[in-house]
Amino acid sequence: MHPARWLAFSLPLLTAMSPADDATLRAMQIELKRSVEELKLPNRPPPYFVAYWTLDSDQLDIEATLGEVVRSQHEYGRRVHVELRVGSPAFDNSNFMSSFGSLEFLSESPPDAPVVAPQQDPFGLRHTFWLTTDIAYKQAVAALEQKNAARQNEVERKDDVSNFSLEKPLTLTVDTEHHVEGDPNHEALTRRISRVFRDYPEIQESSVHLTVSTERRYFVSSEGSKVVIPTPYTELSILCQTQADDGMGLSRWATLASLTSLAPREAEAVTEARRIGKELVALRSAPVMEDYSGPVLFEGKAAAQIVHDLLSEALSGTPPPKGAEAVEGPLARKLGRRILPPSFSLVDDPTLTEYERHPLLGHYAVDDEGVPPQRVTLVEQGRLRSFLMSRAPRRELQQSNGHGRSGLVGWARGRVGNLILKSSQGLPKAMLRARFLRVIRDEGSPFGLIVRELEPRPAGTNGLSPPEPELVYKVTPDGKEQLLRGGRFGQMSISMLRQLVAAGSEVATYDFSLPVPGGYSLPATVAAPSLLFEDVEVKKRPEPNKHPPLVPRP
Amino acid sequence: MLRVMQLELERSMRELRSRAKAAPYYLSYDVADVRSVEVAASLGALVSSSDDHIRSLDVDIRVGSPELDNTRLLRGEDNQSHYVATHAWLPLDDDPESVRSRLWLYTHRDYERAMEDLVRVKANQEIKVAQEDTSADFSQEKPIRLSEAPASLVVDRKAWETRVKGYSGMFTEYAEVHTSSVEFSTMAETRYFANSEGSGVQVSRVEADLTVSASATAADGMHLERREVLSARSAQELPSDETIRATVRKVIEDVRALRRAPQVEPFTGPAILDGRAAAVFFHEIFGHRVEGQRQKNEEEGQTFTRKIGQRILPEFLNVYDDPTVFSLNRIALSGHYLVDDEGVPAERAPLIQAGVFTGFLMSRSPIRGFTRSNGHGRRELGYRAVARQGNLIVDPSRTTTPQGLKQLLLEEISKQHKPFGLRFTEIVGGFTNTSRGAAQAFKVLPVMVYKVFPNGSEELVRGGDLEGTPLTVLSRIIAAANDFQVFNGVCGAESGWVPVSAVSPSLLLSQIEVARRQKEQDRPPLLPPPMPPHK
Repeated sequence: MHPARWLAFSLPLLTAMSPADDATLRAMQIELKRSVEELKLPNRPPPYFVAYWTLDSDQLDIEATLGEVVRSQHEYGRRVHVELRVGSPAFDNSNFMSSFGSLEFLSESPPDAPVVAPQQDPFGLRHTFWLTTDIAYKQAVAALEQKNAARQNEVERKDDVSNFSLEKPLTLTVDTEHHVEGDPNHEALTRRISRVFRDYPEIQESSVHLTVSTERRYFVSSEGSKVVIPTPYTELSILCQTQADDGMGLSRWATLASLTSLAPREAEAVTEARRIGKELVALRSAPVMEDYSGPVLFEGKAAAQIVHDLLSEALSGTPPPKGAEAVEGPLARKLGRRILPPSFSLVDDPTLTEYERHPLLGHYAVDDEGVPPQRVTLVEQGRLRSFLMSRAPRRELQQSNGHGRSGLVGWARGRVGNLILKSSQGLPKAMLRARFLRVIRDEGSPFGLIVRELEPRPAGTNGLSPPEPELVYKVTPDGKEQLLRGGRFGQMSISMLRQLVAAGSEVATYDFSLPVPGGYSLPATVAAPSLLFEDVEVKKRPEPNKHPPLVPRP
Repeated sequence: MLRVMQLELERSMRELRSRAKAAPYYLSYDVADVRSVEVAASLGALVSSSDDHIRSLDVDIRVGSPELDNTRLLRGEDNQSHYVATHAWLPLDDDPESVRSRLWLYTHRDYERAMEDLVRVKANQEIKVAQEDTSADFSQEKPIRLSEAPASLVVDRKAWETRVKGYSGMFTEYAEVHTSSVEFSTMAETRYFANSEGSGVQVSRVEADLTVSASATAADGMHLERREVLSARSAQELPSDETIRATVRKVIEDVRALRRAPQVEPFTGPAILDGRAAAVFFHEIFGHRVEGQRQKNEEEGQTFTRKIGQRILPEFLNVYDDPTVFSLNRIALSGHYLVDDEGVPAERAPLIQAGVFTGFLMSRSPIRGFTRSNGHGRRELGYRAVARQGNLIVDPSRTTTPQGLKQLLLEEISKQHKPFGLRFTEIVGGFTNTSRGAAQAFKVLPVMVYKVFPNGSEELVRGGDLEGTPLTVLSRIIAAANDFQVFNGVCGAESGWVPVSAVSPSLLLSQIEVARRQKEQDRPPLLPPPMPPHK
């Protein structure tokens, strides 16, 4: 007997909700029921698990430069995502990559492309789910067969963990106002912020980009889950670029984001724009970085950024896909082992909206597999205790901890939400600096480096290719600072974290959106104290400079 | 806008001449201000609705000399960029200061790129054998000045949302149609072009399209699609509600009929290409091969390069490309324009006169024997212009009526002792391989194909592709009707997507070849479609 066959459906919903929400959920449930009860190819298993997502999004995108609007768009859209499993939780079609890369012999649209549905129309939604589920089922059956064939060819089966964890069904409805105004004030605001750069003629290019979106997500699954949640998001990003007199390209950025559909406060945004404008102008006349190896203090946001680059990917507990050449992450065999000094701990907690008065972007009510998030202690007293888990189990961890994030495209993986690094021996700013100067002297180094900000880079690289430092200061033992430009980190690695010399007591955060190809952005935050590394390599950028403009600015 | 562009252009040229080691010999700015409104619906509900406004800037900068410059194709290298160096957004407000500062910035960036490219071009010239065609890279043209009023868009988006929803709702009753949509789009473009030769052009273009499309899967898995596009010079000039509804009904009927139609067997024999099908056919197998730049690219098949003055079609056929033609049979031609994307006035390009091949479509890239542009340099924003088709027109000097043409087909069937002939009424497009590495064959994709039996009766069939080699098939045209039809569409090639038209009457061919189409192997959906709500 297939477990899905005897699932009971209760169509009338118990929670009070708006008629539109109710109609949407009903349409999804009717199609879900048909799919679970009737969808079957001869001689092939029926689905044992089906989940449907509908996303209604309402988004405003405005870009301005030097006080003028370059682009202004307001879009409303409805998209659907189907997750369908055949086989059994022990062995199903998920987490598999054939040696061909994808299932090309299926000619219809790939499973990873978002499917657009008619807006606010239950019949159109049912029609879309009907066709999307049909394709998903055929692809699932084909994937299961290929995966089975690949398993037959395996000489030894090392890692026979199951493919899908059992989780409790969830019923959750969160009501909020669901509308973004095509507000002319948003355009005016974006214009005014971008106008700041008119005061800096040395800056060649600048832009201010405001995205305000209200999104409503609907989720139903054959396990009986029913979820309606709002997922609003607003981001203001400011970017400026120029060249130094020797032609070297330079840039600065700032982002103000929140899990609301409210634009950021103008005064704050203008302050940020001025700050990066001044920094960029200062960089133009800063001396060029020379090759360096020695103590480096990552201060403020830079510390959170380097923690993100080193750890975010590696902390995912989702096993690599079967079939293709599976490459394990650098922490895969480190559970229980020391990866940080004993004074450090690391948690990921998407239930938090704020930490030490810093707003956190990695908060969510339900992950992309319909599982409520949990606070996960990843590192305790320097030892690796756990991973970020989706519903794909690994040998040591059989349950999801609510970190299954996919952007509703493809299979979910364990991904960061709010990653928080703490030290029980954090030093106040002045003491950390004194400690840094002592390390410089002890090392016999003529100077050390303080890094305050890196370029924005939402994808972690396990340190293989860290983001370029944008704000680097040379500090001599007498405490004098000198801004430098044109530096680039050598390769770093997670093992460098074990040798951390000291940490600060104050925390700074790095807000970003995890990149998912074709998917919906996954906002996340990394919080960390300033970190003093014993030995980091920073080199002069190897590329030759471009020429500065021959024609003077108009 | 044009004034600002010209001022900055003059200043850049002046400064670069005085400061740079190698000053550019040509610089142009092309600004497109585009407002577009799009509304799409499916099954009676809105899928998307948008109103966008963008202003883009493309810079073309040439260093070296017209004989040899940075744009020459490198021989023996794949993946060469077909893009202009800069495709950037400009602010939407008319503040001269910020426009000039952007023009300045991108001129600087492009100049740098152009200098690097020129070094590569020169190196490539030295290490390779001499080129067969030693033509220059850029033709001499007279500067022009032209100014039209800016384009404006008058459209009631809400009203179109209601209409489009209504049309798309007509599909709701037909469960065997798997996907369907109705899309309305309209745009108004004002183009500003200035170059260092003194040209200053401001031209406007407004267009509107209504696209009805539907697809289904036959029981054997074959994917079937039908699409109709109604085009006009503005939303107001689109056909009436009644005509649109009739088009939707036609698409529904065709898709349903195609699902039930038998698959075609491989066939050689006589066939009629109805006007629109013949138009697409000429566009694919002939038009693409007479684009000038292909004649000097040594990767290309160069089917017609040395055919000037030779007879390649029956004597009664004339073919030309004339972008200046505005409309035909009261249908607006999508390929109409007055000035091309290199600032050259559009001219009628005679291609075939009384069956004799007479010339090519020319951009400002000269080829042997053709040193001037005939105003066919076209591009999508962001791409480099190459010679492309505008309005390709097949114009026979001797015609018969459509009934007469069918009679000729029946005679041909009996003469060749065939059990039937074919009639193609819709061709969606096709592929034509013009590169030398592959066979010089074409394949066009007909959608609506009918068997015509000796008694004159017809039967719809599906799943046949029309294949062959261009020179052979063109010589098989034996008669034409007097029923000119227009195909409006967009055509994709090296310089991106451009709107084109092809015009032709129905044609009779003594022999065509049909092969079975590669078929999708998926089963049709396993479950029946959802039942529509009762009204």
